[in-house]
Amino acid sequence: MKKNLQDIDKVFKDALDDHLEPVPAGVWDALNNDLDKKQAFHYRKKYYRTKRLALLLLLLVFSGIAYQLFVAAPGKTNTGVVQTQLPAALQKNGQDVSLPVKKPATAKELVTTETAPDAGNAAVRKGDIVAAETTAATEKKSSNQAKIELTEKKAANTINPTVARTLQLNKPAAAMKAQRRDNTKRTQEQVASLQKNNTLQQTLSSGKANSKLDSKPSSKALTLATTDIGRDDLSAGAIISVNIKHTASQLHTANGKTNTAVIQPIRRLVSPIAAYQYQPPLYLSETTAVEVVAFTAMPSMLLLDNTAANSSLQKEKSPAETKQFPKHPISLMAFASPNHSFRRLENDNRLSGPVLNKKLAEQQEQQVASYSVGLLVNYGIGKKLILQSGLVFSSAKTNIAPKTIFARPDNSGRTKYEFNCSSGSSFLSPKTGTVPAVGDSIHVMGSSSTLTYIGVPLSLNYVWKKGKFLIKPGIGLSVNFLTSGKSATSFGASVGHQKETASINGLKTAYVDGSLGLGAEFMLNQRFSVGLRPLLRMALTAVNRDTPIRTYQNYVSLETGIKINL
Amino acid sequence: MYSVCLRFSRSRHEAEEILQEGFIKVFVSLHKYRDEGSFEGWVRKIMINTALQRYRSRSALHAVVSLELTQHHPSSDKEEILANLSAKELLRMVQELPPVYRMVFNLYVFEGYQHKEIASLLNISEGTSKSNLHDARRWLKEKITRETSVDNLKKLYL
Repeated sequence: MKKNLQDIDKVFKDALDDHLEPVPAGVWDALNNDLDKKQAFHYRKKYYRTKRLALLLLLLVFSGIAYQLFVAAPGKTNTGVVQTQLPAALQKNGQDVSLPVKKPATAKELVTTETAPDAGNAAVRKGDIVAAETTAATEKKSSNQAKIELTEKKAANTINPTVARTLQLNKPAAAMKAQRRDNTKRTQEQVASLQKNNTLQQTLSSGKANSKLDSKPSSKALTLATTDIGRDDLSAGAIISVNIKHTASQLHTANGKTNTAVIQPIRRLVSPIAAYQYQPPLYLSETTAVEVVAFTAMPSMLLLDNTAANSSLQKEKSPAETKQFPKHPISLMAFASPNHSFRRLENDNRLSGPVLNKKLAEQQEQQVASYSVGLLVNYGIGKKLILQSGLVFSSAKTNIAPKTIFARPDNSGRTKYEFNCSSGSSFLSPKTGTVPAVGDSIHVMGSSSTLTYIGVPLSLNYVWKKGKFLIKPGIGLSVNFLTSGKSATSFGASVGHQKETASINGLKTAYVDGSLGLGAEFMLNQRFSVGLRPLLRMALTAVNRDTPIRTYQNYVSLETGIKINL
Repeated sequence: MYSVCLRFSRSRHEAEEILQEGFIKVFVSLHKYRDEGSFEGWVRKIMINTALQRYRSRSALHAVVSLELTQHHPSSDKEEILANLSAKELLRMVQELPPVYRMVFNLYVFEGYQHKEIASLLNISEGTSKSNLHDARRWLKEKITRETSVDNLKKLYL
């Protein structure tokens, strides 16, 4: 036996090698459940990715639709009107002739005009809206041809845009006041008449309309439609909104000449809506029906003249004005923001256990201070879209509750105390005087982990302009590169209140997040703007790998900054 | 496999957890199995790795070993005493070994690993592995001696 005991290995090997123990039945049930859970987790994880992808696609689709609706579509709508050009010969020596308001307008004669604000002054400034006179012969021919063409094409070419126009009246206030009621009544009658006839095509294709066209010797008639203009507005200007029912074919005669009255481009816009819808230069023919749908005196809106114009007006603006709204502006924006950081934690199936798991981390850890600073470059890629990129420095700090940590060999084989947190682990070697053995423990009083990243965002922003304000919703992606991941740990009195900082292992060098923001900017002047942007940044990939917990770092930021137009 | 897990664990409950975790790995990694060795050997290796992984992740919780608790007891008829020790009792003794000793002893005695391999698996030096094996053997001998002495005394006086 003594020999047996000396060969203790053999004793145990002989006894236990062939020893079998029955497996408790519960183990197999648990195994089944666990396998189901694994499978469910796999599908859930798969679903997460699909959801993220779907969300991204949805945002892209919405962006595309928004672009089509708000950027591309308006230009297309008015193309039929805008592209119609008239020969210069129809203008008298390059000068326009204004016609006073003198008689009730028919549907085809009603156009808008803008004349000098001086009372009684018949002289017309450049840019005023006038009706050009044409010869009666040409008029007759063209009218007949227009009749034929319109009958054939009818509604096929109908374009019915709504255009807002500014009018300034060339009559003294007293005279206008006296005439106001008459004009209002007249306009209402015209609108009613137009509505009754539905469209210009219907009007022109009818025998009545033809006879009108034929019998009319000239298209010079120009009538100002007014409804209700305040006393002050007479000198300051007023706004009129009109519906133009227009058929392109009406503008051409059989011999190729245009038979229309020429209306000079309207220069004065008074509201963002008007600016948005405006398509200069606008020419209205005698066969263009103008339906007055609204007329409101809005002197206060005149103040917005210079700020409400959109890019379509740039051709007519002075160089100084054009500079204010460059087509492809490049601007720099410096910002700083306090962040509310929050994380999504996921257990790693292989590594999470009783030492560290999601539940434990959520109990022990709390994110506290977080901030971002950055410099962004904006580049306009269209009338309404801005591409944004730059550099963003972000920092997130997490406080960790006191706990006991244990010693184990690190990667180099030296035994150190391992400090685990949701971001990763770090090995600490407090100056205790003795080298810790595997399994030795020490109490940690307080600790924190700080992660800092430099992110390179790329986002697409839609710009909606409202006076001096810019509203910029946008979506984007950002690649964040780890610059530092450290844990600061304070040891208890047992080792003399030491504090030790160590790098966190297990952090990935970069992670990706998606962002969704709504920016607002106020233009101080042509060069500087101040802005505010609430921004949500959701991590698409984890910040760490091969750790018991995978951490997804998210932020809600309030970026405040100043923008410089270059 | 359950016996293997029992040897590497402190308790039956822990052995069940290792077995469960090991079998999940087997199922998940089944496609990775190549017919280069016996299937049993492949599964056994997974079980051992699972136990070692568990040991490594929980190394912080392992108690520091103290051999001073064990004392030499006079032995009587050792052959008879050894015959009285069942496999279950020997298994229990292995389970009662301090974790690091248990790992080294199991890997060396039952699995046939060399000290160099053990050192690599447990993140310790080769010398530490040898020392731990020596200590484990001594611990087990003393445990057997003590327990058989108690049993004998019981038999003698009861």
